[in-house]
Amino acid sequence: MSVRYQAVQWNPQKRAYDSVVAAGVIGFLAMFIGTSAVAFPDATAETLLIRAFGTAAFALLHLILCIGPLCRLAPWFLPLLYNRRHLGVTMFLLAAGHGTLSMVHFHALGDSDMLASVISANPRIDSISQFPFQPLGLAALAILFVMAATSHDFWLANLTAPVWKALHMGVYIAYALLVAHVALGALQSEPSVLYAATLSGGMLLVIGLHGLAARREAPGDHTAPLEAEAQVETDGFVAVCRLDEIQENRAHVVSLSGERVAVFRYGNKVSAVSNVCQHQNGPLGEGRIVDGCITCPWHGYQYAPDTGRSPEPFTEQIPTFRVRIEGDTIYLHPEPNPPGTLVEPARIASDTAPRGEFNG
Amino acid sequence: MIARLRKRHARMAAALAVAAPCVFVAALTSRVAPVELPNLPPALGQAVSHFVPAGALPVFESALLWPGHRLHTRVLLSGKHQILELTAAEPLRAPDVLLYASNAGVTDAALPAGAQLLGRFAGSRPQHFALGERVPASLWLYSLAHGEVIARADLAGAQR
Repeated sequence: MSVRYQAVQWNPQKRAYDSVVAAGVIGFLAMFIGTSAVAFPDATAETLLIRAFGTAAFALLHLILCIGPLCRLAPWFLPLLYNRRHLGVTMFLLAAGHGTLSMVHFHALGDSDMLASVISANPRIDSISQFPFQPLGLAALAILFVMAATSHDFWLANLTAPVWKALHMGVYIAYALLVAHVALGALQSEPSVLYAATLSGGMLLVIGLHGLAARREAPGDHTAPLEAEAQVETDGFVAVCRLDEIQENRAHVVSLSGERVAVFRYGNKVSAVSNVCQHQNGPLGEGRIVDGCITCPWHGYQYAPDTGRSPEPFTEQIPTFRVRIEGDTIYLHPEPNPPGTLVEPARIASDTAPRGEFNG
Repeated sequence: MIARLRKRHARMAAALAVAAPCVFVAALTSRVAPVELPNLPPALGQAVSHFVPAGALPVFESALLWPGHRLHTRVLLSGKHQILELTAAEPLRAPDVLLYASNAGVTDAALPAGAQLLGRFAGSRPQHFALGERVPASLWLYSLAHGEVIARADLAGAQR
């Protein structure tokens, strides 16, 4: 994270990530063009480039859409998430290459504007097999452009994470448009079962992984307070979990007042903060405490557990919650404090051993 | 992610899970098998060669006129009129092929200025083109899509 504007905040991880992406894309394009040139000797260079860029962009979009649910299912995919935005911009550039080459190749020599030609050249909206598939690709490209153009943290900070994330959910609309673009375009003229099988396989992978992740996530929004102590105390505190349910320097995530709260245990203290990272709304409760700060598993944003404030000179703040311990039960007050409010951590009695890292 | 966004995310993913397979299945089931030129309906095939008068006599025939291409060439005479019959033994691997005739020889690689367009050439059925009273010196096959000459035949040289 940074306190001032920087085009790209390069670090060794980002350099390694981008090097792998660049090598993968170049390798894919070279392999695709080489194989296609052998399999289709009559295909022109323009055709090979159009197909290669389009296929690479669509394959990359599948990977991008799979990263989110994969990280929900298994934490070892988190390194893929770290710099996903660069992957998205790369995908947009490939798609833009495909779109530009296609427009020049198929629409540049007419007597109307290229964009107008893409939109109006085929009026057969009454036919499925002859449906104008190119405007679908153009619409998807427009969505991907907006996403790529606003991918920088500058926009994330100015739009706020919820608005930014809502905007970037447009990727699902873009994906649906691209499935239609490919199914109504390339698949209409390519009778080989290989193409249809590849597209359906990719689609099932994306949908299946999202379904699995949603199934895994669903109980998190309905986490009931401890059954035995479910009654709200007179002063409004609610029992949420037992001390031994939380590993040292880790959190237990509970759902309170319709939102998720991360209850962290560190040393002989317990603090509770919003589970939502200020940066990209990452799940703080899945992170851990590093150097005394709650550290987001997505991009490493940090917050002090008692104040919910990022260490100086950073300015991010998250809401905190009042917490107390009675016996081995942790109680939370469901009303969040304003972001950055200091809440004295609840102290653990010395005879209660932590579970996990220091538990032998 | 905050709860409101998580719900929107779930709704969008659910809509995608329904819409994308529906579009895919609809597109696949509506696919029309591509028409291959040799399988043109008989009526269309006959229409192409309909203008050849009965009793037209072959005056020239060659299968070696087009270097690098397996094209069978016949010139038929009907009264004073010459008719060119061209048959591709194997499909030409170029799109939008046009046949031109020229009174110039085949000295140049480019289509000669003033070459006369005889018509479109495609498929493997015999196609006929009216040449008039005079046999041209050369024939040219030109791909309109690629903007280049793909084959040429020295008709005058072959008839000598």
